[in-house]
Amino acid sequence: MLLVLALVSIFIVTFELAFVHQPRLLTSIVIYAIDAVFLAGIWIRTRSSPDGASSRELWGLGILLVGNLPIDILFFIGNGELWGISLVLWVRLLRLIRLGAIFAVLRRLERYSGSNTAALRILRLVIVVGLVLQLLTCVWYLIPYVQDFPNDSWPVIEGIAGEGRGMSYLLSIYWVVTAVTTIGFGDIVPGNTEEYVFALFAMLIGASLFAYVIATGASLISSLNLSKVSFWNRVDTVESYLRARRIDRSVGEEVRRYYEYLWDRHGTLREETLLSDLPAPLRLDVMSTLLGDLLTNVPIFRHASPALRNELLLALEPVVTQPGGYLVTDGDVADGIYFIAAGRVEVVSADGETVHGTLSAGDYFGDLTLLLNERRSASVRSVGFSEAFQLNAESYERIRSDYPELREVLTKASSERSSTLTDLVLEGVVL
Amino acid sequence: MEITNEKNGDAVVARFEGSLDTTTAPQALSHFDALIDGGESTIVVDFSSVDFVSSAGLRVLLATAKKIGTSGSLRLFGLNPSVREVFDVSGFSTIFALFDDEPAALAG
Repeated sequence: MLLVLALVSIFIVTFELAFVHQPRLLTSIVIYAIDAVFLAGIWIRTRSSPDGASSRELWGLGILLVGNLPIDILFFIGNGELWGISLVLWVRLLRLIRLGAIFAVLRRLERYSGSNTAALRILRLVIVVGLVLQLLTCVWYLIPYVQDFPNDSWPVIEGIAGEGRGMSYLLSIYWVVTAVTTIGFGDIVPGNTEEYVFALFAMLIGASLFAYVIATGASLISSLNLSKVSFWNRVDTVESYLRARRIDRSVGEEVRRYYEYLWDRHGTLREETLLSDLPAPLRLDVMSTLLGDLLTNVPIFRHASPALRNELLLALEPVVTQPGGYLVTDGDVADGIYFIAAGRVEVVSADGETVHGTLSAGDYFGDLTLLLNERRSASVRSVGFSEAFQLNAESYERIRSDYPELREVLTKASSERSSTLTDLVLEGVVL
Repeated sequence: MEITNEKNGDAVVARFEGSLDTTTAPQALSHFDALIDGGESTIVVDFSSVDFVSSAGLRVLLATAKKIGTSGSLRLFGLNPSVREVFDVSGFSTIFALFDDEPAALAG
């Protein structure tokens, strides 16, 4: 809001000075109303800041007051003029001090905006370009005006000297844009020394502005894709390593497919390590949102109380398995319980030839070998890509002693899983 | 493993003693088969003296329950806490009829 008001006031002040030359009632009211808002803002800020402001703060406050107090009212007395322009309008140029306030607001917004910095940088770019164009436009017309339009000045050559302010503004900004963008049609050209000097200045500013626009654009595009670039850089590194170590090409392709799946489904390598810096409560909030969809497929999670759910959220480890990849293999020592959240897995013999059964989202395995302290008597292979959550043996023991409800939750969850596990036990297969 | 039978009304109570594991599972299975073949359809198993059940033991119980089918029932009682946990967590407690003590198991 303050940003818009500051920009409006700067536009009015510069436009009136260069193209209107005398203060007008309506725009004066707007200017003073905006002043009132800014002064109220300063007053609130001084009231809310702790006592004993430093000299630096006082100095800043003084500058702000100069930029916002309607000192120009005093110059209505006597109707003084300078180069044919009312002194009131010259004094109003003090409002340009608000430029500082505009950039301070933008900086503050950028600091608190998090992921929206790209949008703010675009806004800053538009504001900077707009302000520079406006200031150059006004000065470009002011130069011949203060000289009382000599015959060799550009407005006289173009035949707009003393014409309506709309046309004057349009032609001025047209010249500025053609000069600044380095297009330079040459239909409007400087006619005297002062104008040539300013044209040189405008072109230099234009080149810098152009560079600023390009640099900001480039940096924006790269920052928008920062996570993507870093993800695929990592993938490229792994692939070059595999090539350097002469790993079979088909393995390399499998690795690539695995990363592609991770990127499509999760947009990162491993969410849990990405979030490891966060304090537990914050991590819980983020994890429950991130894994929400997947965890609804895990019955143990659905039946758990909020406290147990949080504990599980921190303990469950996501396991993504590529097509044909093994989650566990025959003969493994029980390392935990696996809850399948997405995809299908098949229970196969040690050689992978015989398929004993298929498990899908909502099923879980690993509980029997864990509780009976036995080795697995079959392997589990992913059909397509599959996602599971592993509750490892240590976590199971810890949570089981801290939350006795875990057993009841598992009993409830077991009633929802398919009969495949029972059939497997009958076949002598234990997972 | 020691297994003794005790007839109680329509039911037969099989008292197990020791561990129901890979070694003893075949003995338990043939015992259950003999009972079923002998016309018993309600088998109550006393687990109070069983200290350990392995996957092979679970397989015997599942096979027996399946063999009895809907014509009768396989009821277990007196499971120690660790054995009970295996049944609860694996979901077998919903397949078998589990009871705290013998009278409850006999009453069904």
